[in-house]
Amino acid sequence: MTDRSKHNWRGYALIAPAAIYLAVFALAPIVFAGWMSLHRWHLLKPERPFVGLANFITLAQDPFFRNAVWNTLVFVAVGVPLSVVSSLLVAALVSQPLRGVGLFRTVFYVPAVCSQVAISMVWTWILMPTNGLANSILAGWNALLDGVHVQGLHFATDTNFLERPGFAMASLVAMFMWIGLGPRMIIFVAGIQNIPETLYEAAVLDGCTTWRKFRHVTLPLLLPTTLFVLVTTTIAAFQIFTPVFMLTRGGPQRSTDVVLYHIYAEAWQKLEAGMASAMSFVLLAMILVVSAAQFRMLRHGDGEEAAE
Amino acid sequence: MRWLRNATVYALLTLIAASTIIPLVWMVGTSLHPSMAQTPTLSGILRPDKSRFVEWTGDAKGLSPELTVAPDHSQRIEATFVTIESESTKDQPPEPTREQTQVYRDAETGAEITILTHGAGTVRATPIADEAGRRLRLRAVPDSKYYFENY
Repeated sequence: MTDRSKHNWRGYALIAPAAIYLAVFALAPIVFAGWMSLHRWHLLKPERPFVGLANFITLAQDPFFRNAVWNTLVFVAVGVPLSVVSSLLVAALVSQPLRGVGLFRTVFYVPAVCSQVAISMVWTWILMPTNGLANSILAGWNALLDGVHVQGLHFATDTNFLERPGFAMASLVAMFMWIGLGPRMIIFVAGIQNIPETLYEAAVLDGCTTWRKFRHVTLPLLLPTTLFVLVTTTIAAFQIFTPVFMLTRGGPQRSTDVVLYHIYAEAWQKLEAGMASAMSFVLLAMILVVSAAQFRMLRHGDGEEAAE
Repeated sequence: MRWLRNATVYALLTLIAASTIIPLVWMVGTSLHPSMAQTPTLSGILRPDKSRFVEWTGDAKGLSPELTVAPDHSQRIEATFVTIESESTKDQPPEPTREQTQVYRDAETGAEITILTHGAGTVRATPIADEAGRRLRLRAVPDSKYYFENY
């Protein structure tokens, strides 16, 4: 055995545990799910006939699944930009050389370390029509307006946020932004701290304002970080489940029935594992397509920025 | 103008921090309330309903929730509890004050100890006998539906 082949053998041995782990716990379930998606696979029925792509064709014709796909896309289209932009702005604020910003960073990170189930319960109470915190705050706002004799800016104080379609989706988006603010902010802060101070000094010498420094120094140099945050946030948004399960169960009127919740209902309420697997592959395809588009778009933008 | 910029940054950070932390404060506040209680209001979130023992009256006096009496003669002892209302229930009609009576009869002396309870609580009577003689230990316990046994 030559030295080179010995070296290769050792390398394979070293990566074997991780490779086996990935093969057994990641690759094999995906392959098995792919196999299930080609069968009519009811969990309680012994016969599981091969149906080819029939599950996927059924999905394409299923108005409820199309509704779930639409809801997911709406959630991603609204939630992801809001989350990324708000995290970037907060990161810019906590990167200022001010006393006490460390405390603010800690506070912003706290929701991320809480159990999503517990947090969802709290949000249920916050959004309740009677005595809920959201309606109490709106009542306080109304009282403030009454105190200064301002008319026309009052809000209803008995809104059932989780029983009205638009409000229910908005509530889920708000919760998604709130939970993910800390982790995304930390990544942006790390990116901002990696930008050399000399570039800002040069920008000041060129007479740049704070906004122009942010626009022409911070944003371009944060592009790789932004790409990472954008892709991970998009994947997280496509995979939203716990808040939907805890707050709305897909309602009202299926307005928050997102794909992952639809998969859960198909697999564990209707017990149609084959159909649920097919849905999983559709979701995987959606995530891959959108993530690839984001990569392409931002890399293209990066090239243009470099050309400038 | 630097101070104005810093003040604006602090104001924005404080506003965002408040909106981040308020749901968690709400979570802590709701955890203080009894499991079957109404959803707390904003003003009553940190003041849950609770029951509290107040005092012994009648043939015994005292503020401690524990009282020991000698069963050598008939006595009438009253225990009073009060319910402290939170903002969420203060506008509702008050529950009628509950009255309970229990009688302990001593087998040796035949003395009767009548225990009257006013309000949301009970008195647990435990006979004890040791070198100090036979006695009856009374313990005032606020209702179990309230989490706080606030002695």
